[in-house]
Amino acid sequence: MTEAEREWPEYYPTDCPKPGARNDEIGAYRAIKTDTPAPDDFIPVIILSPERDYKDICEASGLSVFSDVQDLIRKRKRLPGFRKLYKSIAFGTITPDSGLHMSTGKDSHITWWVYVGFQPHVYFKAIPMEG
Amino acid sequence: MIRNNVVYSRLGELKILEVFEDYDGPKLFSCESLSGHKYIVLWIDSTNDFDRWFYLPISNSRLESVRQGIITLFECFSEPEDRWLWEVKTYHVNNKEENKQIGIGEISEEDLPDREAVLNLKARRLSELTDTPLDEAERSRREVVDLALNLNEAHSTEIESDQLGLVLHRFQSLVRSLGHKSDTVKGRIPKKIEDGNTLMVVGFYAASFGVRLESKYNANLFNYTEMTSSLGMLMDLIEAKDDRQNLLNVLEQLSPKSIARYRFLLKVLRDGNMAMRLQWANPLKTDRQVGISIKEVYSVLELLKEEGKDVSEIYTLDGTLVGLSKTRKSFEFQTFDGDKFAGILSEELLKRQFKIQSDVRVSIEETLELSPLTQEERITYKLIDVVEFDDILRQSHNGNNDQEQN
Repeated sequence: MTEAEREWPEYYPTDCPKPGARNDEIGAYRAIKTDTPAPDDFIPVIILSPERDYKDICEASGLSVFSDVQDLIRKRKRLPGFRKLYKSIAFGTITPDSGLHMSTGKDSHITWWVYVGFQPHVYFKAIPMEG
Repeated sequence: MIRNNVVYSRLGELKILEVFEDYDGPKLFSCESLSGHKYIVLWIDSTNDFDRWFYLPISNSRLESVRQGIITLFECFSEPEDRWLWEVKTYHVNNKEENKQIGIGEISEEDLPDREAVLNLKARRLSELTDTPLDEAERSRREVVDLALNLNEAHSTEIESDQLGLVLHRFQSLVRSLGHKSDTVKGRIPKKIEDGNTLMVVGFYAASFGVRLESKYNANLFNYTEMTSSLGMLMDLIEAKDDRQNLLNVLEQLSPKSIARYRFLLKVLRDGNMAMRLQWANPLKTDRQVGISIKEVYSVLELLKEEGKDVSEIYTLDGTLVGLSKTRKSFEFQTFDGDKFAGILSEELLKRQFKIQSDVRVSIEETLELSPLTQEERITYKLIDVVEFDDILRQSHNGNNDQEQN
């Protein structure tokens, strides 16, 4: 993707991504619904549930990923809803040409804002899970 | 729906107190209604049309136990205190909501957290003592002891901090001794037994001066904790008061260390001119009260004089002689189980030679006493005898040869 092609989705609020968001390369984990990452697994929550009242619309416009897989494993153990909805965890590398990312939240949660046209699911692969 | 940290539900406007797990919004959290009823809320399922949640009414003490991981999330939701919880469906359109009560037997395991999943948060604050000990024991599934001190036979709600510290310290020491069934087991109380017989201070209350103590660990499936029998014995001991025959009957079942530690506890009550009252409750529905007046404290101490002042025990241990100094007359020894002992050498051993870091069998004298200066309990060790394993093996070998010759 060239510099000229990089643009953000139109539903992003002003000043989103947030100041301080980075574009360095990092590894990240995301919960997915089957054992193969699909486009449906990478839809921002604000598109999935637009009716909800979001504390932070900019964060809700990005994708939730985690730098530490243990945070997702813990959620699977604690949350039956999470365990039922997300059968697998996928790992991928966030590269500078995919968008920007920023640490948001208490644990290793990262919000990943993805450029229009970038297909995140292609860069993720399910990892073996216990249980 | 959740807006500005408030859940708008048919159960009421519920202010979110603490979010334990978040994923695109709070998914496991505690909240409180305007009238002060607390809930712990868990996301259990999602479909295209709605999300499903459990709303579990919860008491302060149980919520605190769940926060600290004393009660697992599985136990929290599978065994509601009220024997039911709310299942709430929140539809994605029109904010429609359906609620129904689910009984304890209707909760499906697939709607529950993993069996071992716990929160592991630090204690937030002392719990409010609005519950009776029995209510509290049933809710928290822990042993509960309310210890009330009556100072100078008056109803004072203040106590000197060092007096309270000494009472709690000696009370705890006594409970740990009672947990060590030393009529069969000699020696230092193993760490596991000490840990299992540990009491936590969870609150204070006005009853002269009242302290609520709870077992560190909660009860097993059969409603027993490791300290259930220790506390039963403690109640028997105090209930015997100064009735000579009753007291002797109880003392017969106790180790010398436990008797000494009871004497140490009584001494601090005597010195502080304090009467003591105990109420003990547990998940077995035990609810027992005993007390001892200042006059009875004096009488029991008089009877216990016959039980000796300081307590000494000699026991034999296998391990490694880690260090020894004849100039300082000191030794350091570690058992094969990792317990460390340090103390003084007996006069006889000063004349002998030892190999350091060698595997040995030792005889150690343990003395339990009160420091005359600080009145603190002190345990000292004296090394009485050391036999190297090589010598033990040689003696055993010679013994076998003698038998063969015979």
